[in-house]
Amino acid sequence: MTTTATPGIEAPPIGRQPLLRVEDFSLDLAPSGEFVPVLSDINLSVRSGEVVGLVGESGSGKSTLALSLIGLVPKKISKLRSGRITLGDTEITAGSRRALQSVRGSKVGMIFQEPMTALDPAYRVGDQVAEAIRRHTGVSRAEARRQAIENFKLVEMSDAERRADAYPHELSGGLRQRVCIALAISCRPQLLIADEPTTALDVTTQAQILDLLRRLRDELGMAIILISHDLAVIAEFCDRVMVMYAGQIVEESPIDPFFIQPRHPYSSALLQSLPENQPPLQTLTVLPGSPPPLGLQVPGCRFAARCAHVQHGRCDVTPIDLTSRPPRAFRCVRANELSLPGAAR
Amino acid sequence: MTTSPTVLPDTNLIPVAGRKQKRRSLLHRVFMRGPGMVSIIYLVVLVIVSIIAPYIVPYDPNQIDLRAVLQPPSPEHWLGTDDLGRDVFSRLLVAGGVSLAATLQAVAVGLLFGVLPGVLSGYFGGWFDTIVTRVADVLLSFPSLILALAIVAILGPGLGNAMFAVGIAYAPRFLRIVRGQVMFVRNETFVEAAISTGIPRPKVIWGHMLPNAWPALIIQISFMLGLTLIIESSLSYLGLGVQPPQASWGSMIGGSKAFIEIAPWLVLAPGLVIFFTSLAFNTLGDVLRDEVTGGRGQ
Amino acid sequence: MLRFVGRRLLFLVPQLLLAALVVFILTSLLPGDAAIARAGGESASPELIAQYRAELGLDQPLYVRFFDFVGNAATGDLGVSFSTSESVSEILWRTAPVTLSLVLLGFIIAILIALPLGIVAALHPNGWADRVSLALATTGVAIPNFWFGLILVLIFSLSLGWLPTTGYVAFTADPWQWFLHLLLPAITLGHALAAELTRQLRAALGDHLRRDYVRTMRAAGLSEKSVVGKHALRSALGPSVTTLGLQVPIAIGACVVIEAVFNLPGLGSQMVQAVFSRDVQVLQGVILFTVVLVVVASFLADMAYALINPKVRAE
Repeated sequence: MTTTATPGIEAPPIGRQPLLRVEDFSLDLAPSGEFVPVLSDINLSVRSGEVVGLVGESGSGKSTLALSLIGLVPKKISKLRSGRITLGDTEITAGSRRALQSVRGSKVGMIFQEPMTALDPAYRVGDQVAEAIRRHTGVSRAEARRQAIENFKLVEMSDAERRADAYPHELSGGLRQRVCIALAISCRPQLLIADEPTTALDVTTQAQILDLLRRLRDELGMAIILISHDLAVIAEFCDRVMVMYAGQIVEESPIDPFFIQPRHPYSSALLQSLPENQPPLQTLTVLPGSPPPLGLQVPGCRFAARCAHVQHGRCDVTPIDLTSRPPRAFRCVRANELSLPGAAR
Repeated sequence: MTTSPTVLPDTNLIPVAGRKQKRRSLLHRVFMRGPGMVSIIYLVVLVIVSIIAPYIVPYDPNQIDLRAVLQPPSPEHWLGTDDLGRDVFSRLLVAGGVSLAATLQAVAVGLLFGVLPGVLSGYFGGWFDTIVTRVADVLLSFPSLILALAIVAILGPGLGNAMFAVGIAYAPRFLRIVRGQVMFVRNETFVEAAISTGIPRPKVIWGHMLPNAWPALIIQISFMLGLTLIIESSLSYLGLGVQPPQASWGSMIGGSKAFIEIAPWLVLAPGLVIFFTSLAFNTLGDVLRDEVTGGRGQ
Repeated sequence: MLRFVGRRLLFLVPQLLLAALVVFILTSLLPGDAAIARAGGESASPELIAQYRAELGLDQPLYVRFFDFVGNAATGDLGVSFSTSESVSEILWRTAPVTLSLVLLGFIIAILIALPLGIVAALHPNGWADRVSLALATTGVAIPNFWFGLILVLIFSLSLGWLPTTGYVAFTADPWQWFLHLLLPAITLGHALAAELTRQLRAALGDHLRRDYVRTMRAAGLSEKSVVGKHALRSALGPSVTTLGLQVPIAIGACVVIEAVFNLPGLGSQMVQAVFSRDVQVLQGVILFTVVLVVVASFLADMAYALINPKVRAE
């Protein structure tokens, strides 16, 4: 099972009811004029206390999915083609602006990839967190500030009182990311979405932030969706993993079986290309080619062009559905025939 | 993508070989755009009409006829007559030539006093550059109208003097642009290559650097033409520009201000022409800028 | 912050000196000088002129005269007008309030137009506000100020009779009349300023709305009013304040013409008169005052920018 880093604290049990439900969600985007399909048939659910990893290359649509989960994709350039997203009682895809605003921050928090630009440069960091607290709980300024400092301490920020009066540009990247985390959890949301939270940080800070997130999850009982292109991070952190490719979910699996034997060729290729996996002193094998451009309609399996196991006539004719074999799921017609190599752990 | 105001992205940076061809296609491209086409056509027509004005005017613009004073527009006098019975339409046509010529003169003076120092300043750098830019900055912080007025005070009223003054007031602007472009280009390797093959420096500057400064310069010239027209009109309105019996659009308005209530067309007609012409220059500048920077410049 | 202000203040002095130098050089080139005027004109006897020249210190080398000039100016002695024998400082005292009122009111009107228009245009690109602001920007630059003013007079004073046509009433005498008389001129000025201000605000706000921190705030559930009005707008105001500062010289230049159109006895009219009569002393005084005004305005704009943008204070 997944590690719990904090000794003495047991990970809270994973709840029964799904906190977040994404049903048959398909989204079109119009980055420049024409609407093109960006996400297709996304089905996803997260229960309270779960840590789910979402992995994929850039261009796979994972960040768009993350934004969609809290309804932050700009309406002007997006069109819901089908499906819906529900968070608790609130329907995100059909929610009013007010409903969404009250849910964001209080029921679900989100942290982003780039901490250097994530905070308002004109306000002190303590004030920014305090403002979010006041927004959702209506407490006094003094109380909000006190709580903000508490949150800073919770995210292991040293000298929290003094740091709260700093402006973002006076803090390092790691510290800024801690502020962002403090902001996201300040109202104790049930779900935290972390979109590549450590990608922009150096390796040491990465480890610290991940440990912090793990500790917070243990202490606060939040569910976490961790989005990353880095399988190693996912491996360490998550109970379950979902693999995205070209706007679709191509595999879903609990973490350990996934690493031992993936069911989708793309997952296998990802695992194979992990540096730890490769024989020493040889050229790294990488996955040749690149994902299809955004919105391109590909007949059949979208991975077929790069797949080592492709069978013409089977794989590239009709769209492939997600085959569900609980607790796993995979989008591959050949999955049952193949024995795909995983990763050595 | 944002760029500093005086330096353009290097998309058009090429050694001189294709120069003539490049410039013709820019004009072409500008013409192909709606507003660009309208502006160019309007300006070309205006210039042609102004040049042949003396030959096509229905009346002598200076012909006084005290029996037909302040008449509203009619079939005989398309834009009516002014307080001395002169035909407004004829005056408008001839004044156009005066205004346009004056505008061109001012811009020419500005280029004369701005481009060369700009090139030298950008190319040589050092203390020369520092002094020149400091002076240019100080001059730029003066309101240009006030600077022009001061120079007119030195030289005396008169259209030539006024336009010279305006040109001097503009020189820092052109200087800045040219300097920026030259500095930008100076570090490109093809310049080094040209120098190292023995081409004398002035030729390098003239042949290689300036052509790459053209686009930014042309855009600024276009805007400046629009602005100069307004400044010339303002100065002439005040009586410090063109002197009677010559008339420019601005002085026509100045002379008719007193009669605005009973003869508003005297003020409306020249003003509208100034407005449209200035608008044409500015639109041309906008379209040029869009074409050169290849995107909706904000 | 205090250190920032202090450092900038230090810069102010050399800036002012440099400006004074340029003004001094400019006016030294002017034909005619105080000595000739005192002596009664160019036809006066050369000895008389020379005598006055010595008396007024005009035969001193240039740098001595410059120091005298600065010294006198600092104490408020800017000489005497050739044409009216009034002291230049008195002239400035009399005319400056008129121009300053006009500029102030003009800026207020410009902000009243630019702020709402710019905000709406930034929030809805390609919407109606965006188109209007584009039209405003185009006309604001292309319309001759004096003509626009005349048209306003034609419509609102002469045809509709709502507002007085010309003249100035001091604020201390009758505030309401002061306002009425300045309204049309201020609208003329404000229209020209609003164009650039709107464009600048729209661009800055549009840029900030696309930034990451806005996304963070929205993800934290803050209301749009707070995200746009409190956060994005505050940062966007920075460049707009700088633009405001840059508009001051343009505004003062425009005042010259606007005062002529509306018969306002301000610095601009004074300057035009001085140009006609080649009155060097008055010209010098007015230009110097104008330049000082511009430098001070630019300084204030920098201060305001530092207030808004904490990063700048650290430099």
